[in-house]
Amino acid sequence: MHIDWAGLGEVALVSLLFGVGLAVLFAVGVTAMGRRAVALDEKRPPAMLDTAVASLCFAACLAAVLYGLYLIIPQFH
Amino acid sequence: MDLSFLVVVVIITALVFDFTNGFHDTANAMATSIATGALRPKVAVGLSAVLNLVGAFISTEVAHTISSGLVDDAKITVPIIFGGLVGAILWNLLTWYLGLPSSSSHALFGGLIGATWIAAGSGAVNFGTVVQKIIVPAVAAPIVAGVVALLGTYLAYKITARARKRSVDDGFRAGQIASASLVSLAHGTGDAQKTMGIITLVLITSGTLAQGSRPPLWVIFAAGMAIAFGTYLGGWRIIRTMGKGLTEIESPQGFAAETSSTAVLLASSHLGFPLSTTQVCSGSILGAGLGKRLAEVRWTVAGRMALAWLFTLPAAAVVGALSGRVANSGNLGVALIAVLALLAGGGLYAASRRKPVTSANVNEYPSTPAASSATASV
Repeated sequence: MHIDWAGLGEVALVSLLFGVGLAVLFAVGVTAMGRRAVALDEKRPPAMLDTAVASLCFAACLAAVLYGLYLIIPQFH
Repeated sequence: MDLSFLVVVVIITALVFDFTNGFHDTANAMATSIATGALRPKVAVGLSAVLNLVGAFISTEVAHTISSGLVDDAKITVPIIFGGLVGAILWNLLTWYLGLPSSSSHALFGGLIGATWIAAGSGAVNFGTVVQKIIVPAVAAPIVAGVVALLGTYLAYKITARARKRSVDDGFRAGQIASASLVSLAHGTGDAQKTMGIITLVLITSGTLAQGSRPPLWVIFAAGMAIAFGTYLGGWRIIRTMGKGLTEIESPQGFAAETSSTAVLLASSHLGFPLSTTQVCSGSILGAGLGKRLAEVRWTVAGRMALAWLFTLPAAAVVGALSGRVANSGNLGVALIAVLALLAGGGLYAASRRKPVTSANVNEYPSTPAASSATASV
């Protein structure tokens, strides 16, 4: 009987990297979006930094979704 | 095309299994989105059904073995497959009635192992492979997914602590839709394909198709429709347990849980260490519950789920063994098992109607005094 502990460890590490990383990125993006929304509500121009951070975070999440689609759809391989 | 009575019955049984596979697993992808209101219940199951159907059509990889080496595939006969399917279907229906998520693949493997064991002796079962491909992943899956979801949830709350709550909730809800969709699509490519593989192998064994044939279009279509229809009906009892029963899920937790599930499932299937979708998703939800400070996790529910996982393989194996044995005696035996299985399935359905869980009350846990006594009596 052979148990592929290295394979399991690899799965755990990659999952941790992507799973936690995406949650963090999305949370940062949502926070920046929230600050923009508050600024707009108060009729202030939103900070450039917030817009940039939100766009970057969501773009990275979108890229991750596309990568997920690439992995799922066998025709891409 | 000359199909024997047995082959026709097995194909129908395989499609019924596919159907139960669909409604048993809707919860994996959609329970947290339904619980947080990211998607309305009917929209969620509809989206999941469509993605499962699409997944069924784009999956091209054909399974060449039914049991992935758990049993000696040369010893598998059509009655054994029939017995294995009956064991898996009845286990799926029983756990659905009890509102417990459990792995449809493990149920199928359990049924096949039992049926093969009785028909060809214990030597035909590769116990080492069972430990390696079922027991170890079953323990690892919820732990890995749980830790990822726990950290993700904890950090998501930490980061958004001072942000405006409405923006946070709306943002995470939108994100949930994407991750839930990915889980549904991945499910369709994996699980519908299993049924196609079984039907194709039965057709090859019976000489209807040539060795090494790919699934005919009608098989792909039938399997895709069966899993999609099952998904659309929605196993509301299981959705309620996963979305509301284990823990109260808020949208950041739902997002962290689904992101964890997606990451673990894709990593495991592409790094060659397959993990059960059901166990990954349940572990993620548990982790998301633990990751929020002071969130309540109902350990009795988690314990019942763990018990169900423990019993999946042996329970399906016993039913599979008995059904396979009787089916092996000829057409009369096959008909007898089919009728008994229909009666058992019908009985569970009738019992479920007494305290139905539908799209309307799926988010009420415990819903009514009647429903809470039902869960207490499990």
